[in-house]
Amino acid sequence: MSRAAGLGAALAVAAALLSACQEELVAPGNCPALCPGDAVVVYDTTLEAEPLGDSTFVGYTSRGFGAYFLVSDGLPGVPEQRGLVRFFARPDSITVQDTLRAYAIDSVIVNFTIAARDTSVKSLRALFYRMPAPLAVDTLTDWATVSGAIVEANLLDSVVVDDTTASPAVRMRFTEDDLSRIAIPAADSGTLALAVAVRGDGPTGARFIALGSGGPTFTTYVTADVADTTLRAQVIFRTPTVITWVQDVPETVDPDLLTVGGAPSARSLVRFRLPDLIRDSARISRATLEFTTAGALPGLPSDSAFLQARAVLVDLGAKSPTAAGDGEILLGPGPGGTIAIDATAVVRSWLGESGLPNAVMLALELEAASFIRPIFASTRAGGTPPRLRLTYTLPYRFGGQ
Amino acid sequence: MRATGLLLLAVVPLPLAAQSSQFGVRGFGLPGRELSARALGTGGGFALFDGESSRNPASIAAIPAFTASFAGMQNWRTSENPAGEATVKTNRFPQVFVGGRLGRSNVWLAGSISNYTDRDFRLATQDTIDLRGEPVAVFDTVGSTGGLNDLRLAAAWGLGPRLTVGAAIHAVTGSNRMTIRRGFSDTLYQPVQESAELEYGTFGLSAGLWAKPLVNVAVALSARLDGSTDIQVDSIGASLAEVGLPATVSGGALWTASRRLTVGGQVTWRGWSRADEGFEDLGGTGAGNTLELAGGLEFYRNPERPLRFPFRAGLHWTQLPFPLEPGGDPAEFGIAVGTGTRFAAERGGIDLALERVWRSEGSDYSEQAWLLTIGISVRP
Repeated sequence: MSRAAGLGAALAVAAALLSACQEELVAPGNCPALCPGDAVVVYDTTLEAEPLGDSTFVGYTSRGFGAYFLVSDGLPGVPEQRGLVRFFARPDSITVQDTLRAYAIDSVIVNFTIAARDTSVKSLRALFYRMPAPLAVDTLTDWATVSGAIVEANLLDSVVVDDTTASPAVRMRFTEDDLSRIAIPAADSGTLALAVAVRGDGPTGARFIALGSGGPTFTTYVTADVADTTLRAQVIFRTPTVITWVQDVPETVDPDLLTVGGAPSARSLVRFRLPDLIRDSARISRATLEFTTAGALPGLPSDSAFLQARAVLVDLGAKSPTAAGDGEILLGPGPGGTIAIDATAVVRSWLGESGLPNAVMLALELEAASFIRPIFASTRAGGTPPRLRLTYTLPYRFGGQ
Repeated sequence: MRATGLLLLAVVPLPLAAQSSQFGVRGFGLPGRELSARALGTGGGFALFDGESSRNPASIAAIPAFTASFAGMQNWRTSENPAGEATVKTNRFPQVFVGGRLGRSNVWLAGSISNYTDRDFRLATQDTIDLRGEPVAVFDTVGSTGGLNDLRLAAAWGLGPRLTVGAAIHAVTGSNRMTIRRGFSDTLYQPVQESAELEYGTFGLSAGLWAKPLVNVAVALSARLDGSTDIQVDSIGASLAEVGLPATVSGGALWTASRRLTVGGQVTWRGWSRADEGFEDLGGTGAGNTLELAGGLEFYRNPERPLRFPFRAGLHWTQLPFPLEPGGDPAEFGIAVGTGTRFAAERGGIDLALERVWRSEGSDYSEQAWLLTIGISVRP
């Protein structure tokens, strides 16, 4: 072995020996006797919302633009609600080999999906009524028009809802002799519109999927008038152009309380005033927003919705832009009381010179799509005003011995 | 190639610190020993005569040729205090040295970076506090990494075959990166953590001599005075206090008992009480003067080649300057063995030292540690 090689090998062995062991530096601390400096002090403070700084604003998402539509039947505390769906018009001819062809209908399938229902109510049925011709169905169609159409003569089908699955599909299939039940009068120009109701063994309701996978579909299987037999079987697929619900009693908002949800949806802006010491220096370990309901929380049993406390990027009142879902809690119907939302991330965003406004916007995660419509006490009325519980530490005094 | 290797040894930023310890919590931490692996193998008894150590600027005249060396230390430690017992391990690089004779003159120059104090620690505690009307377990971790480093530039003059004198200037710099963290058993409470850096800096001077009054006896004396340092906190941009570093006086003797055996010892006094007022003002337990006694021997298996696997042994006892509790009198006792060899025509060398160290303060605080130091030296 050369001198250089020997030297290199020795250095490598030494380096390997020295780097073989990992750092591990924790020893038991006999504090405060042994620990240098002061102990960590955790403070717990409760702040009330800024007086008159909390308000409800309405009109963010209208009925018929949410992810679900609602149907109820005698639910306590909830308006009577009926679904209303109008599909895009089905043409009276289809294009096959670049030519419009007449067709004969073989069968029709109409699909809906229930996203949530009261599982304690058995024998749930979904009832579908034809809206009579001539059609005048849009998002402004009112309760009287729809409830007037819900009569035996217009009943298209009554479908027993499978109570063994969490999100049951509701399917109507019409063939041969049944086809006449879903025949579309010439006056309606190929448009199918349905009113939707539910019935069960007791007061109940259902939340139907309106958008995306599981939304209503209207499918017609036809035989086209074409010589090529392989091209005769065709499908005409239609989705809704109107999908909404109507209710017997319009929702109102008490300006002295804080309302969240409903349709059109309401949001509540709640402002706080952080003490300068906390805003400038504190490290937030836990922040909890507490809201007291102004009564019971009505809704569909076993259904729920996320109530979110969103950080406000700029305080512009009703039009304040917000961050998405910083703090949230799942709310279901019940007797009400104090609702606590973890808002640690929200309050941390308030700290420092460039912190966000000391405010939160309360909103439902999915607006105009839930039975839950919580109403909370405000700084004006209703009981205990909104509160913010803070657990925090102040800067540690380093350098202590 | 040789020049590149030396340059690496000289400029690579190494974390300089010695053994981490619960006895490093107070003040500036646990004082370093500023010794090479060879000197550690003799228990520190040869400290004032060892050219690669940083205790006596005159000792660099013992370097036969230009030398670059560094030492790495592995530490296995068991600490006990009223809160419990923990076994931990760390590794450090406490000594870097570059120096040698200036041509054929009687002048030697050297630079070294040594661990002056080590304030590496992390203490974990548990408690239960009442939050929002509920008992919540909290877990606190207080920690520091860093310490003070001693950057020394030394020169020695050979005033004849029996007397060498030396002097050095020292820059004592460093920092403690302090962190504190509180975690909660209830995960709804998020952990809070803070950190800050305490910065230090001052200068010092030292002088020493190495005389050989008898053919087989050498004696050495060394004195050092360091200034005061501000303790700056980066997080608030302010000075917390001004704290004095000690004056140090050392004396030692080396006896060549035979061709195979050399015996040495030294006594060092450090005036750490200069730091007492500053640390007490910061709410600490102050600082006290310390005395260090060390003695050791080196036995040569082959007197013709004394650096080839000699047997070294020694012991030391020293007071520690920063008591853990008011009125405490912490001290350290250690036993060491070591050996080493030179190879590649004595251009490369490895020295090993294994120490068993006991530290204690009263009956509440104690720890035992195994310290394995590996010194690597190169003579291009």
